[in-house]
Amino acid sequence: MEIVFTGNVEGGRVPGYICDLALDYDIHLKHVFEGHITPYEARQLYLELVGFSQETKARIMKLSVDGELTPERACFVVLGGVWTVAEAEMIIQSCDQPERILTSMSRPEDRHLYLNDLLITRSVVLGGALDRKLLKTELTENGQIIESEDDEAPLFIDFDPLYMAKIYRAETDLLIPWLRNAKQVLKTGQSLVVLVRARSDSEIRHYFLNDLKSLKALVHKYRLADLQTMICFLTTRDFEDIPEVQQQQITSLLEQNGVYLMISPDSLSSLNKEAIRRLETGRLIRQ
Amino acid sequence: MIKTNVWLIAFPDEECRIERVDLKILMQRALRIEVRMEKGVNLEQEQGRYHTLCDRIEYYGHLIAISDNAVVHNLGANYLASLIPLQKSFPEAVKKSRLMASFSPSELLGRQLEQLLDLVSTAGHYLCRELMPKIQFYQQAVKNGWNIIELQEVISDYESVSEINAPDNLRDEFLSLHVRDDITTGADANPYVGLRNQIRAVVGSITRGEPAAVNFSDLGHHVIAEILNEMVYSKGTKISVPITYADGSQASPFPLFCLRPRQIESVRFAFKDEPLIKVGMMSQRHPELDPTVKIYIFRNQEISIGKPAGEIDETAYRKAKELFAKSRSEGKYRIAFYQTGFQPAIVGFYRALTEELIQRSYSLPSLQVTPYYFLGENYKEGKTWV
Repeated sequence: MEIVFTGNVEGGRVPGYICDLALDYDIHLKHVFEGHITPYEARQLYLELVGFSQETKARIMKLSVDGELTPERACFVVLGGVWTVAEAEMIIQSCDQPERILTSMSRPEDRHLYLNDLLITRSVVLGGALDRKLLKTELTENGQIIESEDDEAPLFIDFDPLYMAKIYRAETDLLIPWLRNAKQVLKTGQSLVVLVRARSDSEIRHYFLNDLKSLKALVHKYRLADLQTMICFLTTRDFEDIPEVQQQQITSLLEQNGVYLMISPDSLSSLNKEAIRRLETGRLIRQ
Repeated sequence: MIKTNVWLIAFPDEECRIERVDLKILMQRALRIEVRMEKGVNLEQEQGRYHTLCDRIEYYGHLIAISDNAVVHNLGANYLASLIPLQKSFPEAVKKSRLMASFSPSELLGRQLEQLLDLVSTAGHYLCRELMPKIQFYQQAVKNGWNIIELQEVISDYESVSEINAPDNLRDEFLSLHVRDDITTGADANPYVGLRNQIRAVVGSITRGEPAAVNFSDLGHHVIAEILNEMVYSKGTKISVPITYADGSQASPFPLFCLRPRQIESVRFAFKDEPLIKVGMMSQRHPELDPTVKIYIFRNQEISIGKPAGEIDETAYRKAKELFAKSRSEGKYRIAFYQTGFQPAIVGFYRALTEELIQRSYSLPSLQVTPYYFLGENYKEGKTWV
């Protein structure tokens, strides 16, 4: 990827603020007055600009060195609007082979590989939906609550790749959405750890005990460090399709372990649809 | 890191009726779609239907798994990863054995087991070591007349340490990867010169081991055909240049410097009594050509549905390749190719033509294709491929 500036931009040279930015990242631009950024320079600049964490950048570099994924591709799926930074980080850090999802490598006819990509992708989409819900701020206008698309709540979003769990730290008090039978506020400075599992009702019934093990391990890991940390189990609206008795069993097991149940308003089928759309879009865009 | 467990769920035919759904019928439908997907017609729609059916089958598979009437076996978290190298190295055997499928009805299980055993003998026990528990389970299922559904469970592998082992010198290694570090000269006003320079730059980059690809999008179709002809017949070391279209899709590489020009006399002599057959490029696009041409190479419907350019290129390539292969036994052909604009189809067509001419290059000329381009008011003759 070579970047060329025409005469319409600062007379055809690389604009000064881009040169300053490159200097900040310790990238030496060699053709400033010819108005060119070489593919070698552009690659480094691109990787720095997306806003990936150091761990994610390291993983992308490792994948590039191993010949599995180009850094341009990893950046383009974010800047091209397929994934948000937080979603891409979730994929890159938590998957064994993130390049399969980021390059949409699996075809639906190879069901096992495709299904695996889909299972991860739909959890990523669900995590992204929670990000957006938490980031949305509510303003009051003429006594009515309105949602603002421009302002985002001050929130730090992190990720635990071992558990595929989202971590949020609020810089202002926030109402935690989607909690079942509870109203809780995430207080300034408090952390919220959410185990994200996009599952159907039959999957929840089959795999819940394994998820509970993960939750217990999460509680141990994060409560040990900070007793105030809230732990949640996020799943889909399909939870409501589980027989009532089992719903109560699951809820009480979660309560016993100090975990809140979070139910997304999205059903698994709508998450699947969105996940398939992202994988399809990823297949069409630049490699 | 998260991992994926693969579960095998075996159950007798009596368990196939759940609520008002008959799993057998769902599986039969999905199997029919597998056959249709092989043909590649309406692929996107078939893929969508296949996903819906598999999704339903897996859903009911989970319900069966929690009942008391199923035999359940966990293949573990390494099974899925072991499929990838097998598919890379033995795609045909993997397809035959339906290794990637997530269900298998009892009637098909015996045959599928045989194919799995064939795959093991082809790929070797080392590559197939993760498959062995599955094969044992299938043997048990065949004996008992069971159906099988394979399910996946994404799990936290929190007992492992973070597996991103980044070496200390990772950044240096990353920065030393081969990437072009020079600049292209100013844009060429002449599209012929521009494409020629682009291809030369790509050839230079890939010779140095740097990734690069030619982009034929947004170029006049006549420019593509003329410059490809020039590059195919030029002197140089044979090389195949990668192709990426503007939509980001990739196509198969195009062979360059791979044909030698034939002597004019030998071509004239070879085709002196052969009629010129006027052939259009694609039906339904320029109906004014219908009275002029005898036939169209591509059917518009087959080529130009909403696919990425790379796939259109591949489809056009396969169609043209088939046509040329068929023409070999039919004698000589002298074709006037009335070319119209559709970049990926053109690149696919000329790739097939180039490969065909390479194959025929050791015998007397038997295929001649001369493109005709509509430039302004009438058709003009382009460079001949022979």
